[in-house]
Amino acid sequence: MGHLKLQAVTKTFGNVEVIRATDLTIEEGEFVVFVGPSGCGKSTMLRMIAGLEEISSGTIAIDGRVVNDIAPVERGIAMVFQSYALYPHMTVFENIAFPLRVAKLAKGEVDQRVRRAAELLKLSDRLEYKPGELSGGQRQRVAIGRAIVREPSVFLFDEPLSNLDAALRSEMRVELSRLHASLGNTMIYVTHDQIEAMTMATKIVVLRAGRVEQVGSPLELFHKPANRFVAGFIGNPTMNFIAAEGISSSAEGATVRLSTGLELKLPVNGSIESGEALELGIRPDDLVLGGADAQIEMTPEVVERLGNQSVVHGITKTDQPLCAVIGGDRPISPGRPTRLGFDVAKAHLFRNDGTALERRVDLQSLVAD
Amino acid sequence: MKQSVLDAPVRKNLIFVLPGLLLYSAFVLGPILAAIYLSFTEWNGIARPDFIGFSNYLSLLTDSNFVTALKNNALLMVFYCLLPLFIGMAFASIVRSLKGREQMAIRTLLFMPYIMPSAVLGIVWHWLYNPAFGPINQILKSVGLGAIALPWLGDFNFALPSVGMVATWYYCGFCMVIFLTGLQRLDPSIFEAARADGAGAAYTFRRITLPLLLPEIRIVLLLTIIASIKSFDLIFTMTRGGPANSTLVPNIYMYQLGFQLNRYGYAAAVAIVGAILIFTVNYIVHRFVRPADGGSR
Repeated sequence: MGHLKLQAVTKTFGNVEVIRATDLTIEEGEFVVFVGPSGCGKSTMLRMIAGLEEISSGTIAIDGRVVNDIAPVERGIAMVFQSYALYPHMTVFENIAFPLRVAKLAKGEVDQRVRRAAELLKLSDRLEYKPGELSGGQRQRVAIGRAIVREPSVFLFDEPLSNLDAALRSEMRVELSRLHASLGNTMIYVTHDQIEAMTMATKIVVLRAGRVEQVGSPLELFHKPANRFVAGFIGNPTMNFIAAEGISSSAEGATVRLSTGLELKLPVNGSIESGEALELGIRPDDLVLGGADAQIEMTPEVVERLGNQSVVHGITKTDQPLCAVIGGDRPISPGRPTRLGFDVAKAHLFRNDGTALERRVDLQSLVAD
Repeated sequence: MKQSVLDAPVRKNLIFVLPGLLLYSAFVLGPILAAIYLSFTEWNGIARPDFIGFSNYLSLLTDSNFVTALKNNALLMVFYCLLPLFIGMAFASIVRSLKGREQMAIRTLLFMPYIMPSAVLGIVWHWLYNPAFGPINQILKSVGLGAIALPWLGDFNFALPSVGMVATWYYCGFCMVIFLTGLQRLDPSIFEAARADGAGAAYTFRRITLPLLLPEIRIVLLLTIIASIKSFDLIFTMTRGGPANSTLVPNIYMYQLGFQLNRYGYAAAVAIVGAILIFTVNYIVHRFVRPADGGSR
């Protein structure tokens, strides 16, 4: 249970189309993360699945049943809200028991389910407390508990960790992943934080301006972004983009000339035309100090030393901004020109319209033992 | 660290609060103390007051007019407190569901009576209730309901409810605004969570909205209870306590005793009992209507 299918789903508010025709299939047991910048429609999409927002057209089916006109409670979903949405006047027990009381379950059954959820979420000693007496992480667990007791086929999370501090957020990420592993239910999670998306998801849906830009596994999105937007959105620090011009293409890949004058042959699929305006993408982590296949000279402007690594922001000779992540023990200082190199196999190539030329990367080999 | 002028000793800073304190003493504290003193005296307003101890208070216990006034006041509380509370809450729910200009227009219209002086409203409603040419009876007659076109303010049974309805109309807009701010204070996602959990409107109202609006309910009760016990101008301009004391309330009675019968000592005792009544009822409200969201353990 927990299979979800969206077909040509749209949402309009007045004349504004906030979700454009979207087709999406979520398999049972998947942990799917909707990610994208603010206002991209990810929360609206989640709310439409929850039934809190009507869809303008298309169909949403949960476990093969079209739920367009079905009340949220009958959809087999449970939702965890960004603000936790706990009832401040009720104890933790009553908060978790609320959906069961609405469903008029027997007292014994309510008690049993609430205590089971509390045990799973390590809340057993907090059942008589009120939300105002709990920490942010505990409140979040109560909200999850309220979802768990309903035994839904699909869990919906709307930016549930955004109100927590960094340390607690990372702790809760692990807890949520554990919860998913132990419950095995389908989970749909909305966030604008790509770290949450990359660490927890089995499948990521990247949205921009109401449109699905790419659907895939975290590694697929990282190594084979479908377009410049996804490439720039996934990965931190963001990918460097350097203007390039097409020279030729062959079975080995595409040959391009960078704005710095450097000529490179990139192992990508698809053909390019001579003189075609392109962009080369290289992740800051893939830049290394000193020699490699390709070299770029950069003058560092700011060096952020994180200990184990240093994030270097600078510009090339052609005033192209560039960011590199290098080892924390490597010598580098602002103002002194430095030669950076990268492996051409790690570079990405984008056409003028933003679409990517597919890189030749074996994703299986990246996750193999 | 540089010292502020307010860091000076209290006696030096007293000079800053002295003007306010003098005004307060002259116009609030002084009259209160004077009223307490007068309530233990018999005074016609001209001769020297004679100290008579608790005689005025003891007389009040057996004063049928005073008992009537208290009974009327108790009934008026339904119109001053309970009806505006329920109607205001319903209006707030309706107005909250409206958007933009519509919401502002309805909110303004409903709140408008509250910005008018209640004495003026009393005069207007006195005319509206006029049995001969008042619009209310004219409308009733024009739709064939002439049989119930009563002399509203002249009827022994209907005078008090008629005055009370004006108070309800006057206060429900005010209550609506208080509840509206209360509803806006609540996180909308808790209602969405309740909806996602399958709670219907009535269940959500009973289990979530109502308990979370207790701070506003308390404020509304406190203010309207005070208003009901203090009620004077509306009744004075509409019925002056009549007919046959059917709309007599302690404040009207106090006015009659003091300014018509020159029994200032006795009138002061009525005023003091009214004040004690306000304190008592408000204490009860404070004690039993508590915010439900819990404090620290």
